[in-house]
Amino acid sequence: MVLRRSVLGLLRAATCLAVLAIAGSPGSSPAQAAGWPERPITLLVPWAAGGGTDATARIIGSLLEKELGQPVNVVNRVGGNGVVGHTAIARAAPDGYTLGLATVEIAMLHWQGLTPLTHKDFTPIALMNLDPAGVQVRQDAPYATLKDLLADIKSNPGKHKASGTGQGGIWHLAIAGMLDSLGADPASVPWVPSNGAAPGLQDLVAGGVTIVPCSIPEARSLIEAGRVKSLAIMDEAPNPIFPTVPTLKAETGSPWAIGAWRGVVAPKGLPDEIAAKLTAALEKIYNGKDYKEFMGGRGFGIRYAAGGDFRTFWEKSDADLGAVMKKVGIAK
Amino acid sequence: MNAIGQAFELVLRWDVLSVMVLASAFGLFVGATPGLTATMAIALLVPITFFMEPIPAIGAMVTCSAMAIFAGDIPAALLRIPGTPASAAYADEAYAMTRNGQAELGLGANLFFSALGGLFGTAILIVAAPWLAEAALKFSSFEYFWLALLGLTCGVFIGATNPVKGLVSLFIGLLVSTVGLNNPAGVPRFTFGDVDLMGGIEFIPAMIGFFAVSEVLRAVVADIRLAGVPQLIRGSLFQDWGRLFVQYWPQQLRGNIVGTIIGALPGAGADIAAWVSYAVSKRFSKTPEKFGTGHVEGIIESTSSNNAALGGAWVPALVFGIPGDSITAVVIGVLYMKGMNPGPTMFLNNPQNIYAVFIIFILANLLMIPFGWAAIKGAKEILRVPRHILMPCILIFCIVGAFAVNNSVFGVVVMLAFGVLGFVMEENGIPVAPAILGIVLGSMVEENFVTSMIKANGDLAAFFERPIAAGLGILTILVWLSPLILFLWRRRGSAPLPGGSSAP
Amino acid sequence: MRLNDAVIGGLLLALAVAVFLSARTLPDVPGQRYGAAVFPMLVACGLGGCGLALTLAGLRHWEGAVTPAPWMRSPAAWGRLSATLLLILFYIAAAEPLGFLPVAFVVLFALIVLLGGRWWVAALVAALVALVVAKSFGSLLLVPLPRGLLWL
Repeated sequence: MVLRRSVLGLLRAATCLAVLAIAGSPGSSPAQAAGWPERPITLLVPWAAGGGTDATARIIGSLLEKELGQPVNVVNRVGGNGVVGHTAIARAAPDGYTLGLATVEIAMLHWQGLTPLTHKDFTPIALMNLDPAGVQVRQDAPYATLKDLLADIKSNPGKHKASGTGQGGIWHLAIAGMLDSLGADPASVPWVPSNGAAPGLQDLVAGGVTIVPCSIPEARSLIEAGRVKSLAIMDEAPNPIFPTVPTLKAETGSPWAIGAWRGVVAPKGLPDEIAAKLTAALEKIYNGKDYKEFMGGRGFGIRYAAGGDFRTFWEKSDADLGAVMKKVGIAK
Repeated sequence: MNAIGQAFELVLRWDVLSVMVLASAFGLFVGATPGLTATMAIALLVPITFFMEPIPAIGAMVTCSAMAIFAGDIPAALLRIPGTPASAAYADEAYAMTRNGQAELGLGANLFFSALGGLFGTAILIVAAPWLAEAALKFSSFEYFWLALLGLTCGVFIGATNPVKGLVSLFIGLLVSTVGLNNPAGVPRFTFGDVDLMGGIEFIPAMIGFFAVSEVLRAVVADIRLAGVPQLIRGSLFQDWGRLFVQYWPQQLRGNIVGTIIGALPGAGADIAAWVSYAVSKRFSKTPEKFGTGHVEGIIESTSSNNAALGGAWVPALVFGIPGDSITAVVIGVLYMKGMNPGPTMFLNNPQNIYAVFIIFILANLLMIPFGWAAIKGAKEILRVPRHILMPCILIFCIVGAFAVNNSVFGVVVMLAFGVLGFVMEENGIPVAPAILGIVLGSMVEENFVTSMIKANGDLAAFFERPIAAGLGILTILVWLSPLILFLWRRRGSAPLPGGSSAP
Repeated sequence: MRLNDAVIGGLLLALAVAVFLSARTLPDVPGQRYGAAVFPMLVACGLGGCGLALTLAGLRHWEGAVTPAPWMRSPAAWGRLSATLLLILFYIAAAEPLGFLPVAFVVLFALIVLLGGRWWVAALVAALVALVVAKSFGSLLLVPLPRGLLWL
């Protein structure tokens, strides 16, 4: 182990040298930015092949390829709740040839002390998607509305358990923030960490937990199969696929809204010309038929914000999440 | 009946069939290449399928994954490099057969029983999908915990003439699985502040290191120009099929059943199915001492099992939209994209689509025979390449494969570290296979243990409160105690039990 | 190399103790009694148990700490082993700045020559394999192999 550590250390040093050599090599100059893109572009995804983020990246990648006339290769860089992938995006050269699809986790990880990266380390280009959290329970659960469930939570703290992502993940914060906004103790529904929404939902149906506050597209197949029902959605408007599920605000008056978002970003210091070209291309994609059809087909929510608007959105998300994480005791 | 007719019309079209043929070739190539997994092959198909009709899109994915899982056996047998993790369980055994000059027999068995296993999994998918999916949905973390422990127990039965050294290997694997952020508390563990280590240690680069790199290192220290090239004795792949089928039908059937069931359980896939089946095969074999020396029995059972698992994984995917493995996770996304929303309604509203999927499954497994035959014929020429040229080429393939897993040079670092570790372990009689199993199952054991404890507020009795959990728990404990019980039984002076058919 | 079982056992025991002590400091899930520490501590116990068993077994059959394998007496074998490891390290360090093609060529060429191939065969095979791998993985399977200075 000691030997392996020193070997790893040596390699680390060697890799760092290699990275430095790259960073030292001629980067982006205005002249190069004008001709961009001249070679294939890499779109880094911090999550595994097959997931929702990967699917979103692949459709954006193939549409971007048509817009820019250069291949866009989707590259998965997985691990550590997104730390590895987001770090790779931030550390890449800001020459427009390495982009990334950042996810909401980048607004959470730094509060936990897992990465020093914040929105300041990226160039936000365009927010492309937002999936609000819902409150899912078993179909045969004895609660017709969220109010019934809340009353039961308040009178029996600790009875209900929730799952759907890891400790301190986005859905954990969703329910904690919701309970807090309704005057209940966030700890009255203990969180059972799971490796994503699918195992959490499986456990919900199997009777292991009682609440899964994941997004609607993640729960969709089980809702349609009549195994799970959604009591409310933590968004300003109902989801077009399940318009009968009320918003949290309509149901309880709480203004709490939260969701998982995904947006195209570049490393900090991307030349403005490239950013402008990219924004134009992404806006066209967002408004196009293919993107809407794809996202609609998967039940993914869409939301657009470019450049500065995206940064404002990101900052607000960051602050909201930080506040909840402090309440739950996850933030350092 | 009308729906079945429509389904045939949907599938038997030149565009669907040609897509399936292309996907076969692609799947064979990806599966045979270490580091490129069946899941990656499917993910690469996603942007392509976006521009296809639904049925050809599904045809491409089913065919590609079936071929890839079979093709993983080819480099495992010829070079001791499992092409996909699903072949790792019996890579040593298959390689031993090749060194004994039985490459044709071993690969022929892989091909034939892979196809049969795939057909069996399909049959179960057709006959029992709704029922089996219902059962799979009863599994909570308590049940998965016992299942994962049972899986770990397999590690002790695999390999290892010295059981303590087998356990050492298993614990090393479990220790490796604890590295990173992926733990119930979501905190960095044994990462030494390194970003890459936060992502944990991927088991595919570790597997490439353990099996392939350590093999290259062994070849390098021995003077390989003196080492003999394995001889290929036979010409025909097919000639033993009848005999093997008659002789080993119980093993094959057991592999099929175990594979389908494990495949149908969300979160456990072809990889785990192959390990469990290999261990079961050895445990119940009449000649367990032959295992590890190039004996076809365990290969038949586990190669049947991993292909049967593919069909099984579609059970919860089609019925509830819950992925049975990482491949169906991608497929479900594509189904939604094509408006073929999985769920019970799919069986009611669009039965012709379901039947079309079934027909594609059957066709894909039949296509496996000619395509697999061609792939084996081509691949075994590799053995004619002089080893001083072959080994460096293998090393480059390993490097690229380890890189491709996470598109990061860190994978190559992991590969190198585990190559050296595997080399040292095997020099000292510690088998590497149990360590791989430990890495694969470690997080499953941990996650399900800790989450169960949280749900039960720390009450250990909860592990026996649910009926299926209690059954699995008692089975696990019986398996652990079986050597002791057998020992006591024999001590009492009664007639010795027949070795193979004893407990659990 | 064959280490005596007692030596392996001792190393495993030391590893187990280190893991156990370092795992004890890991935090629990907030509000729970269980967390990141439980599992590594259990594994450390198992590893330590095995280490102890191996130590006892090894001491009973003590024949010196190390029994060298036949290849270990050959300096050439040591040379080939360390050269192979160095070549992999070279790939890890140099692939990013120099690119896949030249680095893969060097690794292949050096290793074939090292294992006794003729230099021109080595050069031919190395060039061909590097090109085929770069083409098939980099261009067809979209594996983002480092481009570096030289690409197709």
